[in-house]
Amino acid sequence: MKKISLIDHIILWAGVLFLLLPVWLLFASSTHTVETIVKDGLQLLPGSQGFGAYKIALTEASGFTDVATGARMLLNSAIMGLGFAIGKIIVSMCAAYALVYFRIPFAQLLFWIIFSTLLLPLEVRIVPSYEVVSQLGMLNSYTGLIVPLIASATATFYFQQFYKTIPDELLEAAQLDNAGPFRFFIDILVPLSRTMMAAMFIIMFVVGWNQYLWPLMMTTEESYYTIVMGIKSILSVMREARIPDYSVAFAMVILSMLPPVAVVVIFQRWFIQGLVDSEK
Amino acid sequence: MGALKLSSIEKTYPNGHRAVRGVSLEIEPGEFLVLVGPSGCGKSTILRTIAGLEQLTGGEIHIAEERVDERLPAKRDIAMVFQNYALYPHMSVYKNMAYGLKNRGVSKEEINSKVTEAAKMLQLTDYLERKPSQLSGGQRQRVAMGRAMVRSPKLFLFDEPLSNLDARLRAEMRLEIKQLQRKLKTTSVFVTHDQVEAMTLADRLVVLNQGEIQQVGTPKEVYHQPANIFVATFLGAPAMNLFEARVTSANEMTLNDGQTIQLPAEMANRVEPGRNVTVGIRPEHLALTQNGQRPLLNFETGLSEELGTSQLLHGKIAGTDCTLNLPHFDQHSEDQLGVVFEPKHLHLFDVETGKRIDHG
Repeated sequence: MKKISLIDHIILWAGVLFLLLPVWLLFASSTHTVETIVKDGLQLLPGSQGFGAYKIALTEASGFTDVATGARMLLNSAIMGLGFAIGKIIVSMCAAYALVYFRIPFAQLLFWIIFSTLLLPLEVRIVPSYEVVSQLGMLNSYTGLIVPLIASATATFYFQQFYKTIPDELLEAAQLDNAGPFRFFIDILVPLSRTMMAAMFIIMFVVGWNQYLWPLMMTTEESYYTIVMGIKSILSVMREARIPDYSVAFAMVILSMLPPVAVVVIFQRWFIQGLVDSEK
Repeated sequence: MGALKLSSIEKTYPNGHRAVRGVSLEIEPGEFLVLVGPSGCGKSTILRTIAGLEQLTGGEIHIAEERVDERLPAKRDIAMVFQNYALYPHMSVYKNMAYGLKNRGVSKEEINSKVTEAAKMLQLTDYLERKPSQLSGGQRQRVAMGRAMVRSPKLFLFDEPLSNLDARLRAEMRLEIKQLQRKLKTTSVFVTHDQVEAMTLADRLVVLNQGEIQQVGTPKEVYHQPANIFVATFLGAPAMNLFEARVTSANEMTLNDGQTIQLPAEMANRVEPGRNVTVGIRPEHLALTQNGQRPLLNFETGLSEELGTSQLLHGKIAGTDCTLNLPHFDQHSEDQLGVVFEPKHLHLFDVETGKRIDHG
């Protein structure tokens, strides 16, 4: 028994090291000078520059104009990630509510139509989507960045399955308590879905934060650049036969990782708490 | 004037299943009516149509002289206690009880006074801030009742509310419900498949089978004068013993194996000789012969079961399974025993229709 648990721990630690080592290399290297990185490669130990590269990453603009600073790009990413996650949760909760609790003609068909959009990821429909957004004049706007992406078959499906587990008696009790459809949704379903919402938020925020292709298509103004695009643009100076600011780029990578990690850490706590004191 | 009136209500489900077939009932104000029957007999469906959770496919429902079957559940002035309580898991006990009032635009002060009063009556005052998950089964049951009480509805509906509780708690809550109903004097309809609950709680009992009323009456009437074989065997544990018999003369019946039973005097003229009947007698009305008493029937003994207050003796009379409920703890080693009974405890049913013969 003890032996097995020792092996378990070795495997776990190996996994942790395997996942964390690259991150640590990035972090340690980001505190070195560019010369050290270029000459000696990635560094295992922290260097002499401290957090200087982070300051540059946050405050100095890398593009043609002065607006696309790291801070600005972080803000853009945050708006995109939050809008993406919250929008998806709202839309899919409403869709699932309609599908589960209302007698809609062809509900089953509608469900499969929604479900079949899983076969059409953004990459497949990016040209028509772009066309629609540009016709609506929403290029270079947060609305254009977020709204076309907030319909989610996955989240709708999860919420639908979740609603189906809620006992019918709860709806009936609410009916007797004079709660109409709207009240039932707000007073009963939404509070009961908290854990589900937290789970969806974690997933969708990270997905939204990491969007690359869509913002790249959608934004030409640097003030709308997201942090994921920013990393790329720092390294792209390579094409201009210059040595990229590796330490700054690494710092930016670390910075871009922090918010999703924070979201996961914070919401996981809620998520697990919600699972532990099961209220349903 | 009835508190609740069902006029030949019908419920046919879209799949063609006829759950309720023309049920008519009238309930007096303050009465505690129990609907009892085996699962699938339509008792819950009847309750749910009264509540408005199911749409009728025929007939009318009146509550206090007003037709309600086309109204929304919330507009019928009823309250329902569900089998699994259906408490809102994320709300405190207080909010659970207050929710229906809040949705009806009752003022905060009034809600507060009503909830506090109900909580006091149900001994929930210390638990008002708890969530349902932090309560025991009995307490949840009380919250569910409190939620119904605070609205002071015209009608309480109970849908097998005790079936999720363990036996001891069930007996306790049964008494509590009865006391509460007596105190509040609210007309109540209670659905159960448990005959003990049905017998103990009911002012009047409605026995249902396959969507039809079998008998309506006080528990005593239904138990002692069952209208048909179904009612006779459904109520009472162990069930009534039944034997096939043939009326052979004006005052005698013969069982399959030739044993004869004297017809009770008052029934002598009701059955003509040559007619086949089903004879029923309850296990507790059969006794063993004592001190050389002349046996009325021969009993082949089988297994016995100890119940504490009495003893069940299984066996056969005239080749038909039969159970005796004996108040004494005797060991019986004989293969054959003599059995006696009082003729007035015999029930006679028509073989074809299953209807009680001396009925009506």
